[in-house]
Amino acid sequence: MDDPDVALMLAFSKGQEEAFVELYNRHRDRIVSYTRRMLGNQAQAEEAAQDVFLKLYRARETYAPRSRFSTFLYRIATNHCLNLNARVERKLVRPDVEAANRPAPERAAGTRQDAELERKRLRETLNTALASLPERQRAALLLVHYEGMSYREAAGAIEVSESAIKSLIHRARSAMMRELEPELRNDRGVLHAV
Amino acid sequence: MRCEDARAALDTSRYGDTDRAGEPGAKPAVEQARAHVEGCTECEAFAERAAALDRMLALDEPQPPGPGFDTRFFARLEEERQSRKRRGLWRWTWALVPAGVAAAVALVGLPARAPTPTDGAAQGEHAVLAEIPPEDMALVMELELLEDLPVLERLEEVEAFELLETIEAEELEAILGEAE
Ligand SMILES: [Zn+2]
Repeated sequence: MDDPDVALMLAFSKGQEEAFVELYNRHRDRIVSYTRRMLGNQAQAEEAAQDVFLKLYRARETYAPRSRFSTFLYRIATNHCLNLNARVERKLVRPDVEAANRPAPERAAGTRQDAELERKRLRETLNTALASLPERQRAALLLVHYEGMSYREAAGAIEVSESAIKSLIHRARSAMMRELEPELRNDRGVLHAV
Repeated sequence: MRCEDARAALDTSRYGDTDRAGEPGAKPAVEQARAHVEGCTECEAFAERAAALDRMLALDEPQPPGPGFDTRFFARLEEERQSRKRRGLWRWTWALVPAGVAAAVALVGLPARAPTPTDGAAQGEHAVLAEIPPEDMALVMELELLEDLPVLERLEEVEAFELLETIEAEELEAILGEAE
């Protein structure tokens, strides 16, 4: 398989610890971003990302390259986030939920400061909408949209079929569009500007 | 093409469909959808909002982890390595044990369900340990070997017996008892 990360993981499974450090350095930021978007909370996300790398460390004895390395790593990350969310159930720390219910202010982003505030408000609204998605829909959308995975890779990471991934993404996007309707409707280039 | 199908096809095409590029039928669906959108006001509005959604999604940029992340991680990793080392010794000792202990456990009248050595992860070990009944567990604790090397030596003696079955239960109890 032509995947340098697979080669690193194989080297690690043969005892080369520095190969693990290399994998950690390569994937750290992305995994932290992914767990943050999955869990909706930075502190929890960092802890979870570390758990993911510890699980990767433990996986060296049983590792067999059956897929791209990223599929393997994101499968660990996805399962971990799903388990964490199942554990906290409804106590899930949500980003500023009120932000979503606040009506979109009249657009008058005159100053740079206004634009920055508007950008922040939109980000919070976006995060709330993401957090309100059913988890598998959220995972599917994050993997293809932010992580740039192909449908096949995302399917491997979530352990569903490719057609299920497409359906999850379509449902996720539809739900996001309903949730963000006022923002999207009012978007007369404002999102371009901020 | 129905509106819903057109919208689904648009969403699917949004992230490419490279895995199925070679398959006939994949691309025409998108082209049909585009043709549909041109003649359907509602789907045209959908397409605009879909584009706005992409702009909104782009607002959430990746953030690097906070300060101290690496330090915390490598401290946890070191802890992991140390505990693996300890578990490694634990496994190694069990590897010496089974023949003797399994027989001993059977002969002294305990259920012969001595833990089998496991090379699985910690979870597997916990699962195995969790299954051991309390009486057996007492024996296992007695054999917390490295802290109790004489027992280990004794067990090697037990293993050396060719006809374990012939040992009386009392004798084995005595052997295990002596080491206490
Ligand atoms: Zn239509």
